[in-house]
Amino acid sequence: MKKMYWVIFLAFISMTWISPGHAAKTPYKIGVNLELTGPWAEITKTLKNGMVMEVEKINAKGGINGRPLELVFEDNGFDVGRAAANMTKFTRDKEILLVVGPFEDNLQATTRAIAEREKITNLIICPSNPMVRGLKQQWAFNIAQSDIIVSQKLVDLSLARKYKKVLVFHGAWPLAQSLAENFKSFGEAKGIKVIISPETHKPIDIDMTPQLTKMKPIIQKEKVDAFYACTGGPPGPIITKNLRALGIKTPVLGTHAFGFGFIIALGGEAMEGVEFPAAKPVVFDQLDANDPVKPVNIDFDKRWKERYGTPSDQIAGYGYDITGLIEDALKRVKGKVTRASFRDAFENTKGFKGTHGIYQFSPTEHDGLSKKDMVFVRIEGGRFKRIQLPGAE
Amino acid sequence: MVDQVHKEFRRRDLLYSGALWLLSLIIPDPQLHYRREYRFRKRDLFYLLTILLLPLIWSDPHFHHIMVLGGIHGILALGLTLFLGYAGQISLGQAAFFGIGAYTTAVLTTRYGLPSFLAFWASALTAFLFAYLIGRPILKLKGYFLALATLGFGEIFLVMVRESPRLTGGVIGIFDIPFFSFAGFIFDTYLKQYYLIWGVLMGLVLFSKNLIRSKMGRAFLAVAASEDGASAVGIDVSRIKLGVFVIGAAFAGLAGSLFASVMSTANPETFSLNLSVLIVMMVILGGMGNLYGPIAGAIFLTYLIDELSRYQEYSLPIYGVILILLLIFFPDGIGTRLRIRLIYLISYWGRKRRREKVEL
Repeated sequence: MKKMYWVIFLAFISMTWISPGHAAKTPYKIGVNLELTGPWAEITKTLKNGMVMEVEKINAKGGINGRPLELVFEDNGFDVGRAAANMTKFTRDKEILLVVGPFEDNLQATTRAIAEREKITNLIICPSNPMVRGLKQQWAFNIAQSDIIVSQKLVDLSLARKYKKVLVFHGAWPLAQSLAENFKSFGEAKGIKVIISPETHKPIDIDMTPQLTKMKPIIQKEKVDAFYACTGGPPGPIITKNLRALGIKTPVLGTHAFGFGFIIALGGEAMEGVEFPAAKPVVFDQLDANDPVKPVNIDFDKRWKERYGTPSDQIAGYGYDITGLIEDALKRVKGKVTRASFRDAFENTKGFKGTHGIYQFSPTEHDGLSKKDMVFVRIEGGRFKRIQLPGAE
Repeated sequence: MVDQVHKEFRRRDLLYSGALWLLSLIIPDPQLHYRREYRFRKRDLFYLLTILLLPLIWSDPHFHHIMVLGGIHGILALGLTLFLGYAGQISLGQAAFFGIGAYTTAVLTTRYGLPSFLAFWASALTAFLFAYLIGRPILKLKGYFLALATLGFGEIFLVMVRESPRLTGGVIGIFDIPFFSFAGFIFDTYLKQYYLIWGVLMGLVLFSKNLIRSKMGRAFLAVAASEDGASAVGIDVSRIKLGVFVIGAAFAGLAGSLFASVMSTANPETFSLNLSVLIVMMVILGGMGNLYGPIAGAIFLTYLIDELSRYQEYSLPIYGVILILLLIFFPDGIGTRLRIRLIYLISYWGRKRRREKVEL
């Protein structure tokens, strides 16, 4: 029983513990509001590792204007209320310059609204759905490729492969749904017939056979040329595997979220021949020799492997890009660094070379990347292989 | 065991008694529902002043935000404690009524431009009607079966929301819900929202206090003790159960409406089973069978979860350990018999040392 009291005692001690900062000069503080527990835990951990590694590199060089960077992490546990509470916690702290995250679509809408109200920059990794982006918020910026770019790129891929009819099987979450709808609108403008299946799936589904069995007659009756698995994470390989197990040989198209090593590991043989538009870090070693992004990726991957022992991926690359963009903007701030001056500097980012591509922001464009920053990838022999399609690049 | 402690008075007991006196002002009285009539007591004044002055003394937007969320959870827990604590029935579908309230406000204010004050009452009414329709058939079930039926209702609600994008926006949800406003006064800061939500909560606490002292409230306790016994003394058991179910649902509807206007979004992920379980946890942790306990539990859990956020990946295990410890040391909830429980815990060391002395 005595031990029990020690446990409580230690719990209280640890609750009051606050990580000490030993920086000589006051650091630039960056709030990071991520889903470190819950379904996105693995992905956000990679992002966190990437940001920590880059911040340490910047600080080792002596920081920015002689001041170090400091990351303040808060877990929002995949919950709207907690994400919003973290956001207010950050806005209240006068030293915090900007907030990175959250990751999930549903949480972003609330934090972006708070950012707008409290006037603090909010960097979003995954783009939020078109409805929220349509609000044209001044203080929120998107880092990743938006659903519009991915869909346009996918239409190019379908045109190059001469697909006339595509069946879309999308996930029941906002980004997957808007990817499917954008693909339909862009595709039909280019004369591709796009059928969006009424069947959907959730990120936690571990077997898609029931949905695919219902869709099999459509595939056979309509004679579709390609099957678009509009999803992300583990459902991707599960869909492909189940599709092949049902004896359907239709080519499979994927989203940019297919560019992870675990996708091939989960899907195995079935993933052979899957094609998708991908971010450049996925196939950084196969980029053109004169691609400006190639050396950045090679350098980043080397340091990542030294530190964490695993190959880097797209999400780790976002860690590099976010930290680099912040560093770049801080260097360009003229005069006193405040939340407002930082935002203005960030909005004028022109031609920053990240791992994913060249970032261009402007007062009218808060999505940093463009269509040029994506490549086509095909899975061959258990590896990602870049494919070049004449006329579609 | 309590007598033993008071037998010999030591100097350090003075220290304890000071702390205990302070606690006795805050801690709810477990004997509440046996009192004959309601009088405005010193303690109520203490609560009222604390609630009114606390945000002004501790003037920090983050604290206000946590108290706003805690208050919304408090309304939910209050509704559930009537059903779970007083009437002894279990519901795992409370999040669905919360969602119905939130979506009613969202749809009425954004699509039809209704003032949020009207939408607020409409939310309670909608949740009330849904609860009536659902409650009629499923409240015939008892125990685990009732828990399963309410759980099923929660899931059906989520599927309906996801699959009707015209009305609810599907998985994307509804954005840009206006702040709560009344007669031109907009509750746009956390401080204003704090007073709004705690005002509503105080009104509901008064309502519940009167309810549990009424004929119906006493019938809740009878139903909780024994349904057969209650019907033997002439209580219409199914009517009482339905009554308390719809009241709890209406509370959840009000909370949902406030949540939608505070967060300015409504989407299906928020109203999942996790939330229902969290509310049940708040009621159990706060103490079933009294009104202040679940509210205290709601604030405590909201604050704890927020505080643990800084531990990143470790927040979940620490949270689990704290819950287990609390349930071991306060099995009846932190709001029930707390005074006796604390005296027992504090005196544990003394008793142990004395026991060891005797053995030697």
